[in-house]
Amino acid sequence: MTSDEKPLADDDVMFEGLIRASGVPVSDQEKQDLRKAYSSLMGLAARTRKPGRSWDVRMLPVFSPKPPKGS
Amino acid sequence: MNVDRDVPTIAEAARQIKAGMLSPVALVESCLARIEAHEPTIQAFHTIFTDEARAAANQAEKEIESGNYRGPLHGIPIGLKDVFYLKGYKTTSNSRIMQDFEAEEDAAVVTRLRDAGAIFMGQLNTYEFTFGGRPTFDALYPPARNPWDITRSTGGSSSGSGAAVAAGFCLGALGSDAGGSIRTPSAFCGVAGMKATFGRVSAFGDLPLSFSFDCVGPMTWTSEDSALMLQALAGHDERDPGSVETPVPDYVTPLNGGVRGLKVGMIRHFYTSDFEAPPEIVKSIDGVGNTLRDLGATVEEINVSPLIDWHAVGRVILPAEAFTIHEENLQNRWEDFGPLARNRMMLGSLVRAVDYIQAQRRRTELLEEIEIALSEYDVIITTAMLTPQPPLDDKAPFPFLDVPMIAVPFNLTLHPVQTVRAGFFNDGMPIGAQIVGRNWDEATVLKVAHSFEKEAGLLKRFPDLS
Repeated sequence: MTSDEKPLADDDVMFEGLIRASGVPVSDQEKQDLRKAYSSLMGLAARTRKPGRSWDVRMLPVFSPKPPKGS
Repeated sequence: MNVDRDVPTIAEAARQIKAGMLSPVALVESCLARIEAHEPTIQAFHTIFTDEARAAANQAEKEIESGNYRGPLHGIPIGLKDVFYLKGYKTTSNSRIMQDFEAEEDAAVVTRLRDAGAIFMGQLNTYEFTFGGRPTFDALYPPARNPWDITRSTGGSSSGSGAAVAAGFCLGALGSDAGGSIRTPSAFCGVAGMKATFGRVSAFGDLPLSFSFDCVGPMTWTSEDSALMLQALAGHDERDPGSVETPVPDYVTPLNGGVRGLKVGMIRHFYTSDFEAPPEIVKSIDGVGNTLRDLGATVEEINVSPLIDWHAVGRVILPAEAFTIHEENLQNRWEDFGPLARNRMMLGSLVRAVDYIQAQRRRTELLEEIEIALSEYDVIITTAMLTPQPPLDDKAPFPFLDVPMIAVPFNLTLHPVQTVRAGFFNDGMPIGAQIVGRNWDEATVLKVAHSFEKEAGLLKRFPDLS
């Protein structure tokens, strides 16, 4: 997918499903505004992907157990 | 707007109070008089502690006169953003959802300021649940107005804090920052503000917006004053899981150390090509670099990933976390939220787990860019604003999706940032710059900021409240 292509997630079925799954009683007018915002959001989300990104690149924060007391 | 006024800085007032030349009672009364005269217009506070402030000022005066001087914040009027637990009062975050919430104890930063002898002037307005973008008119309280032009936005979400310090209602204020909420109102209102390293100042008792980004910090007229407040605020607190146990250095003594020999990196492409900011902003921010060069710093232009990349990461992570925090109330009390805030939070429900994780992975890469830059440069400078202060009544629901948010990069990377007044638009509105430092090195950031402010001489202009 090139940066000019619409992200796959920018889809009415996906949007409606996410709204329904949220359990929030959004009005029809608000849903219309949110649908436009969703397109922008998915465009931004697409930008965070990087083809060929190393598997070693982890998300922040990376949790690890605290060292034992006294160590 | 070049009006003189009789409001000291914290540093000036502290010297006079310690020397017995200024009474905390007189100082508080002068702030209360300004509040009485101008607060109905500015709307920085929703609750003013008139009686409490007078009582605290009397107490402070007695303590100081008896030799029990606690330090530079003793007897200093401070405002509190309405997101901090404050025992005996409601903490509402400007939302009907919280209008009856009263914490059982003070926030950590409130306790630290109280212990330092600060005098609380009141609770300051914020955007509903601190979700920024534009002020919220449909929340519990009306929005604060910019003292430089009451038809323009203060920026947010520490909107009341920026307005109160700019108007001289208090000498300092507390703010919080997850996406620029200290730095944007600082820039828009022409004051100084510090987002410290994530984990430097306890967020215990700060109503959260984003677990990954939330920071608490001071907003003041000068960077010297920011240093004085940060000295009291900083330090480990085991009640805040993000708080880090690392020594707190002296922020005040090194302020006058100068910048000779320091290396400064300017990220200009953020405001010249990634987004074409107005010429006044370009000139002002470039002017910060030029001033530091004149003071003996080495100043060079540096490049990092385009601003839209940083913006994208922030816009995926923050709403997702905000929605998570408020999910139950959004499902069950939708009508009690203001429409602007609730729809901003709804964006978070549209972020899938894979989007969130990819954004966090991109964040790791971007953080590394700034770490590499700061391994070579002592500080980085860029703008704190990309556009002029918008009209107060701009009710665009999602303005932060289409225009990049310039403060967000350093929420992602966790580094300390000081906002300073860098110049003015042709219409007299202030322009702010960001000075970014290495993690835990707020001292160098504040030293650079203080050096710039002293040399540039831009802080002798005040908003005309008449």
